[in-house]
This record gives sequence, structure tokens and C-alpha cells, in this order.
Amino acid sequence: MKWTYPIVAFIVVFVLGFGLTNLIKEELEVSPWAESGAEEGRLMAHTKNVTRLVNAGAADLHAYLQTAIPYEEAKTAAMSPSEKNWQEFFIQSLKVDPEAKNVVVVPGGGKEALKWALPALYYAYFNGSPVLFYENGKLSGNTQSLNDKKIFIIGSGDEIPNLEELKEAERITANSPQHLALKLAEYRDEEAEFGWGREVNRNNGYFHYVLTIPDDALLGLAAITYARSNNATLLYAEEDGGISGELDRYAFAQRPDWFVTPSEGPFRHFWIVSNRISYAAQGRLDFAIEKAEYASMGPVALGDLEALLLILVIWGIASALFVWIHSMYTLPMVKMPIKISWALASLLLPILGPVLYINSYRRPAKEVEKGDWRWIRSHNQQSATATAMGFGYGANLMIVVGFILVWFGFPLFFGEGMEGPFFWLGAGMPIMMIAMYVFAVLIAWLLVQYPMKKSMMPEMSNKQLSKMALITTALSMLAVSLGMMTTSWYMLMNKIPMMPKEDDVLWFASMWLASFVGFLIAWPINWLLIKKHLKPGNV
Amino acid sequence: MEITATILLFIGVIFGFMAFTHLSMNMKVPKMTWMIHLIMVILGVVALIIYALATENVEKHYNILVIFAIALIPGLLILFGKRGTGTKKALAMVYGLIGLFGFFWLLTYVLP
Repeated sequence: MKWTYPIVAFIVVFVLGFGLTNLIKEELEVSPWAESGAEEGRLMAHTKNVTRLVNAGAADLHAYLQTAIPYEEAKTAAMSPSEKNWQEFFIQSLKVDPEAKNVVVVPGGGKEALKWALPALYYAYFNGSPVLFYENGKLSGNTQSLNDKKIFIIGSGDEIPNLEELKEAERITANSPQHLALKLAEYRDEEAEFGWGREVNRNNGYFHYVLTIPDDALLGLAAITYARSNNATLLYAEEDGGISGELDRYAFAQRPDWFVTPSEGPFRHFWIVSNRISYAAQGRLDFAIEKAEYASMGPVALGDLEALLLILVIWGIASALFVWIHSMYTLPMVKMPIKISWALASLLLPILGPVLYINSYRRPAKEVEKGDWRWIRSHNQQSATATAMGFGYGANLMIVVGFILVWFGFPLFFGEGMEGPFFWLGAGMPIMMIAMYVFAVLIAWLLVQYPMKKSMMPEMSNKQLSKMALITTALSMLAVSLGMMTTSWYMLMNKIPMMPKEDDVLWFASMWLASFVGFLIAWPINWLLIKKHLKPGNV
Repeated sequence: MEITATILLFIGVIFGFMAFTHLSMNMKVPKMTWMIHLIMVILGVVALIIYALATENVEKHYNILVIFAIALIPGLLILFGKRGTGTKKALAMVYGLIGLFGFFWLLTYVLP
């Protein structure tokens, strides 16, 4: 008996079987832990996503933050802000970025103007946007800065009229400062680079919030350093210290979720600067942005993608078992390597594998030599068979190599040579893809294709056989890789928000899906190989 | 002792796989192959039991012993039952799948 084929099958079954068992175990272990989740503990213990900065007024808060946040980039004016000098304070604190693509126009004047201006001032301070104040019928500051920049007028709607120099401006208005702050938190003009753009769906989650009430807007201004040090957006609670339905909705939509452990980011936080915000509101906000586990990771539910792809994996296992058992009992004339490759191919080709397998053998057959049978098949069917022969061993081996690499880890190369245009060659994913291909080709060549070709063409010299086997293995696996690598890149690097680890459903499921696509791409390429008689398709 | 059990059982798995390959090809399983499998599995399970009795660790691998006990049922039927190759193949598959699952479960604790 030729032992190389069962050895490859054993490696595949062993590594993938272990990986899938580990997956089941990890999920089971997460479950009891998740039952007493962070939310529960949160309500009984203390708030950790909300920090209340107790202060004796704007001057006190400003002095404290100047020492607490000593970063040059987030420095504010040395003077303390007051209701009289708030515009001056802001202008001195603002570091204008000459390349900023937007200009902000806000109402100036007294305390009422500050309420409306403050949410926009936070963004302007963060972005380095020039700010003009509209007061007593005219704009203060340097109107030269309006040239070549998009103008945004922020306020209640009727405070700032349509001046000649503001003709092309975009107005962002609301019926209350609270609504205006929320609107700016979600608004984004990508071209003019204006607005926080912090909506529900974001890939970047590292930002905070400063919360005050409109009547305590001056305290918000005193804490404007957070806009730079913590990427903080300003939000307003209600005047009575509670939070509105809209803010509640917004805060819950900002709840981050963790994928593997709660210690990973993103972390969101509310800095409460008004002493008049109620404990209930603080507790509610703390609960709203408490990190929750990603839906697929616990007993709560599977995500839609996990559920669908898990079905793919389970059907794959069922398909492989069906093909193996069926061929073991009913096809004694099919040789062992072929049976193994059909079973392994079906593992990654749920439903399609068994359909192609049945279609390949429910046909007339003839015995060309003793114990050597051939089936009469259409060209397409021959291509499918030839693809399955290489794919069954090759694609599985690629997943096996990939799993071993991510399980044990592998070194990254960021040497000097990797600084240029080929820097990506030193990154994790390309290294893994190259290693998957190279190792899988080597194993499939030595343990599968070479002995297979040797048994089919005994008259050919070993050197020639070895060369031919290497070329056909490398080519057919390159064809599979075309679909497999691009799909796995799309799934792991783009589609899934965070790179899944090897003990996640999504890692295996992505590989299964990628292999399926790899087969579909390799099938027509094998059609050509069959036409050129480079591969057999009737075994 | 946990590592010893894993190594013994791993050798058992390899010989079990060899025996199953013979059986699935309708070939007679060489006596040496199934004997080594049997001895290694017995020694491995004994090592696991000693570990469970001796360790102060919370995880005593009782669940794995239960899985192996379930695998023992088709295993004994193959060993002592007088059945045809077809039935033996089916029993071997059930035995192998349960046994492998138990071994993988053990590996999840042992591998770093």
C-alpha cells in the first residue's frame, strides 16, 4: 500500500480536526463566563466609562486640566475662560492648521452664543479649522481665511444672516444646542474634512466625549483640551441634568464590542464636566457604552455571517463523510488516493463536492488494465475531477499550514530591506499566504503528485516525473490560490471588522468560503489542462 | 503524566489511523498494528486516570475519560464481535471519530 496519501489525509484530519474541536471548546468556555457579563457587574459596582470632573468653576477646571493633560498639542490658553473672554480664550487656544479645508462661522457674544458655538468649537480646535465669530452684524477675525475653504455656519438657524462673503456656506442648524451637538457628532463632509462623523457604523472606535449642559457651556469650554488629547466630541445633557431620548439613542449606538477579550479596544468614555448632571444620567451613559462581547462569541447569538458560514463548514464535514463512506462501500474499483482526494475536496465543497462525485461515477466505466478503471465523462466533468484531485489535497494543506502558522505564530520581517515599495512582503498576511502556498505545494508535490504520476507513468524517468509533478502541482495550486487568497484577504482584512483568530468560527469559515471560491476559479483553468492532456480527468 | 498520556495516545492514534486505512481498503489489519494501537490506548488511558487521581489541578480530564468510555463501546464490538468487514468498517469509523474527538479535546489543554 502507498502510505503517502493516507499520511496527507491524516495530517489534514488531525490538524483541522484539532482546530475545529478547539473552536467548540473555546465557545463552550466563553459561555458560562459571559452569563455574568460586564453589564451586570457594572450596575452593582461603580461606573468606569464615565468620569465626573468635580470642579469649583471654569477657572478651577481649566487649571486642573492644564496639569492633568500636559501635552503640547492639547495646550490651551493660559488665561481662564469666562463668560466675557470666552472668544479670546478660544482664539488663543486654537492652533490653526494652514492646510485646513474648512472654516467655521459661529455666533459670538454672550453666554447664549457660547451654548450654540461650543460643539463646533470642539471640532475646530481638534481639526485646526479657522473660526470666525458673528457678532453685531459683522464677522470678527480674518476673513481672508474664507478663501479656498468651505465655510460652515453653525448655530440656531437665524442668528447669522446671509452675508455677501458667506454665500457659498453650508449651514448646520438645529432647534436646540443639544440637537446641534448630536448633529455635529454624526455629521461628516469628507471633502471638506468637517464634522466628527461618529455614526453607528465606524471602523475607528477610539474617541471620547465631553458632556455638559448648555447652561454650563463655559465648563465645556474649559475642558476643550479633551478635543485633542482624547478626540472628544462635545455633547449636551438636558438642563435638568437628565439625558434626552436622542442622546440615549446615540450613546447606545456607540457601544463598542470586543472580539476575543474585553481588554482589547475600542474604549469609549464620557468626561462629565457639569456638576448638575444627575447620577442616573451618568449611570445610564456608563451602561450605554459599556463594552459588550461581539455577538458571535457567546451564548447570546451568532452573528449572521457566522451562522451562514458555520452552515458551510458543517455541510462540508457532512459532505466529506458522505463521500468517504459511500466510496468505501460502493466503489472498490476506485483507487485510494482518488477516494481520499474526493473526500477531502468535498470537505471544502459542501454539496457541490458530493454532486460532482456522484456525477463522476454514475457513468459507464471500463477496465483499461487489471484493476485500473476509467470512467467516460464529459469535458466539463473531467475538468471538475481533475480540479478536485489537486484541490482535495492542496487546498486542505493550505488551510493546515495557515492554521499551524496562526496557532504557533510566525516571525515578521521588518528589516531595512522592507522599507521600500515591497514593505508589504514583511507583513503578516502576505507572509502567511506565501508560506501557505509554498509549504502546501512542497507537501502535495512530494507526498501526492509525484507518487501519483509515478504510478500512472512508470516508464518515465524519476527526474522528468519529479519536474512534471512539481510544475502541475504549482500551477494547479496557483489556480486555486487565485480565488482562495483573494477571498481570504477580502474576508479577513476587509469584510470582518477585526481579524479573527484561529479559535474563531470566522477564521475557519473564511477559509472554507475562500477554498470554495478557489475551486470555482481553478475549474475553468483545469478545463484547459484537460484539453492539453496535461491532467487526467477520467480516473 | 498529562504529557505522557498525550504522547501514548498520539502513538495510539497513528496506529489506529493505519488500522482504519487497512480496513477501509478491505484489507486485513496486521496484528502488530492493532495490537500497538490497543496497548498504547490502554496505557494512555491509565496514565490519564493516574493523572486524575494524583493532580491537584482543578481540571482532572474526567470529561475525556467519559468520551473514551463511549468510544470503548464500538471498540469492543470490533474486537470481540464476530461481524463482517462492512459492519466493522462502520464501527471503526464511529469508534475513530469519538476517540479522535476525545484526543483533540485533551490536546486543547496540552498544546501551548
